[in-house]
Amino acid sequence: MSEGRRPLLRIEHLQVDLPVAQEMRRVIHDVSLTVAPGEVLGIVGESGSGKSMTARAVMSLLPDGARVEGRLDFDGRPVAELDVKDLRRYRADDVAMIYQDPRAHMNPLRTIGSFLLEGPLERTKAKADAVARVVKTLKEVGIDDAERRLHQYPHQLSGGLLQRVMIAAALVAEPRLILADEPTTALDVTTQQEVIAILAEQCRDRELAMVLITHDLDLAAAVADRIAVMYAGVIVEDAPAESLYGGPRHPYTAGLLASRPHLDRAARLQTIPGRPVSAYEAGPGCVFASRCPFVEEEAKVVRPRPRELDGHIVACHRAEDLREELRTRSEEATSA
Amino acid sequence: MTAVSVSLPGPRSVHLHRLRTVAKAVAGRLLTILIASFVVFMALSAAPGNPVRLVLGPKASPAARAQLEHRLGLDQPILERYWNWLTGVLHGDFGISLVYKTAVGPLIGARLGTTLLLVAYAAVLILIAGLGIGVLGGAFRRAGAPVAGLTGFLLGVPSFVAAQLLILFFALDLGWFPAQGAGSGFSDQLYHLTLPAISLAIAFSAWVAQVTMTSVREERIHEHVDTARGRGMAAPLVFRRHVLRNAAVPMITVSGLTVASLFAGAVVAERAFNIGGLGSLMLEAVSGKDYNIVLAVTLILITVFVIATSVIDIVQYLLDPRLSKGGGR
Amino acid sequence: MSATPEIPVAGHVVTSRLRIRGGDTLIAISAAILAVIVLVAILAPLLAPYEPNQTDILHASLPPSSSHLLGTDELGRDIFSRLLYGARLSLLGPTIITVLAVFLGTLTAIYSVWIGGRFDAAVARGLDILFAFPSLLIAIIAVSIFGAGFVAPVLALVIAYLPYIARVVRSVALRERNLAYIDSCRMMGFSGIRICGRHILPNVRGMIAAQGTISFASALLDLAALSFIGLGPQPPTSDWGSMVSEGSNELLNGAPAQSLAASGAIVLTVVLVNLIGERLATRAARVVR
Repeated sequence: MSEGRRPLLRIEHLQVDLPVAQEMRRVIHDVSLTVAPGEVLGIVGESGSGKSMTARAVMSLLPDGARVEGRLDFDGRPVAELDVKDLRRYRADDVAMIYQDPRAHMNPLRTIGSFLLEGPLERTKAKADAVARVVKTLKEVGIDDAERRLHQYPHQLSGGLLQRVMIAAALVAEPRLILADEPTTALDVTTQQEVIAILAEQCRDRELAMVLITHDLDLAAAVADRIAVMYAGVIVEDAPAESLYGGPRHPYTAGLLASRPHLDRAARLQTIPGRPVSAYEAGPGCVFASRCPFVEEEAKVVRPRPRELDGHIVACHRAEDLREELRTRSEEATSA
Repeated sequence: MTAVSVSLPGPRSVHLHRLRTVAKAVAGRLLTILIASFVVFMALSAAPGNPVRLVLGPKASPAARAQLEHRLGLDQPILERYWNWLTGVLHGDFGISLVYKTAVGPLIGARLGTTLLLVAYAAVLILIAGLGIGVLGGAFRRAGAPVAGLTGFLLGVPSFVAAQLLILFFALDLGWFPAQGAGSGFSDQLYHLTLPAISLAIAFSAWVAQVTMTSVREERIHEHVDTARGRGMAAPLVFRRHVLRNAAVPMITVSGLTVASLFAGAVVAERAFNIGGLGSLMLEAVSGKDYNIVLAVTLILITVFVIATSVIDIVQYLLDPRLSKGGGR
Repeated sequence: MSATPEIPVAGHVVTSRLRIRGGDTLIAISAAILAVIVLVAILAPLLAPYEPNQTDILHASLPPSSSHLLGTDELGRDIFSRLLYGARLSLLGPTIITVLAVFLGTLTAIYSVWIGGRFDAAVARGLDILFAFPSLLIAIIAVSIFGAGFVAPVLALVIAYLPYIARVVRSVALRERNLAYIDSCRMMGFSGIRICGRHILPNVRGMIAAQGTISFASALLDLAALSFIGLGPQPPTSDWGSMVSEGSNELLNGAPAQSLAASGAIVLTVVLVNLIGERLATRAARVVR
């Protein structure tokens, strides 16, 4: 996992309930993750899996009235115990978040420059310095006419450009951890490639840790060092990217891999029957039980505990048995 | 509060384009006033009942009637009468009052001051109370329901009802303020106009508060507010810069509409408190079929309304860059 | 981020996001009380202990007692009976106004949107001009032309409120009309009326209901104000507004009963109607999403 270094981010048994229409709904059952300094962790899951909420929990930016249990430590310090001043410093200096829809996350009435400088000017009075830094960062993310862009408004820029601005804003803060919540989902395919490349490159160059949240397993595999697969508020599998991609140990991961459309041959699209379930909808047993092709009675009643298997952490009662089965299936899926 | 100030000297064509848009809008507004005045003029002229009869009485001779009609210009074709009236107005001549037998202009001028003071007084109260309560209700989650409940109730208290209660408690019972009249001299007028201003302010404040509160709440949950918080900015700063500033447009709109509506609402308050302002002049003119006064006051009210809405549009245009700068990528 | 359409009504903007706790019970109670008020108005002749206009100078300005629930006014008339009878005009006026304004406003808007082109632009212009008139002003002008009473203010307010309904319906109709499925209906040869009736109208229903209810409350307030300043039904007929006016003199002389009773009736009715209207508006806005 962390090769002996202290993990930058450690989440242990995180549980989150959110108030929805006057009742509390569970969004995250039990999530445990670590991120080492400079490591890229991919969290992969469908909508409703709770992956975005995990990121918000790290930032301590959950909606009003949310109930959180479990440990969430950044660099050894519990985030929940930070007082207001320290929390602000934590958000300003240590972590930075990149959101899915940049247009919605920027104030339409203020300039790009104002947006970018808001953060740095909290920390320093030297405006010229800050502007220079911002311009430099904008160029690093591929926006050449940076000075001109500073005076423009969000509605004057395309989605791809805005996302680059968002990335620049995150980088300017010089954080130690970046949380990227579906950074490319709102963009068209070509722009997606560019943006993710920039993100990955910057993280490498600056030795930043990143948590990349996405529903695209291929994307995560391309960029991340480790991948955690999330379903219905639970981490079902957590493994090094290559190992997970090549040999999933959990039926859901296998299903995800198998359900990607093939570009090289005509074959019927495989799907996981049913629809993704949110944490509060899942029953007492394994959260995936209702859709799992390998389900047995035990899974319907007892929730599987995550355990280690071949270097993966899996939450499945039948992980050992299914090893062969899943391997055959994934080979079929990826063979040309 | 540092911000990157934006004033790029834009190319001339941008400025010209903006001027043209503004000019077109202003022209449109003036046309509205013109058409409105025309419609009202026609309607009043087509009214049943003969003002000459009212003035001279039913026993007057046809000759006397014809003479008065000629003097009042009632024997001319209607379009010509409108034109004469219009050109007169543009010169400041609003015609002669049938009832008072003097020029309408000075009559209005004398009363206008009182009404203006009343409206201004009420407007100040409304803006302070309405915007203040609205912002508080929007900023604090738990204040929402009580503010909504209170304003919902107060919306149903029209100024003449409020007047009764205010007179009962503050004038008759407690004796703090006079129950009727407008007073003379500035500070005396302020004293007299306090209860009337409050009576007008109650329902309008509730309205302003509701719109403000809704607007602030909507802005508070916008994603860009989260972004700012997530970057470690202090809550009050985030509120000021990202919530209030964005909520400003509806707040300004409703404030402008309020001030415009106050002039019409003043009629009721003036009656309730026996104040000799523009409103009571209008009411006298209505019962006396003194159309010149009715026309003049109508024109003033419409103009005020149109000016208010124009100001709102201009402010909206200035505050929202999406309106002034089209999407040039 | 779609903007919730604000529903302005002659000065009262509906804020459709406000939620009142204990929602549905409150609405049910409001509706029940309103039903009682309407019933009382209809059954006034049966329920009122005295004739509303029967003067009795010997028993003038009496305080509330068992024989006169709210006392008597300066002319000896029983205030309670006057209140019951006054409800009739005070409720009838807004009803007529709302029904007519909704009917005409909806018709104008849908027809105008359907025809489109310059006709629509002209109608839009006309509505704009109407918006420049405060509703009270239109009523005052109407009264100066046609004289005070019940009819002139009611008709004037229909004209005053029409543009608010029309604007709301227009915005929905415009949006619906541009949807592709309307074109496909046309291509299939459906007549305009059928398309409008079947497809556009149902989508507007919720908003019309909300707007209409709020209009009712505003109309009640405006009509009462007009009666108060003497432009409404003339004596001996009276509604709540004129009761407040007549009562204000008595109030100055120490007998606030008539004034307060009529005021209370107005406020109660308006608040209840507004409650229901806001709930309808919230529901309508949700459908729009």
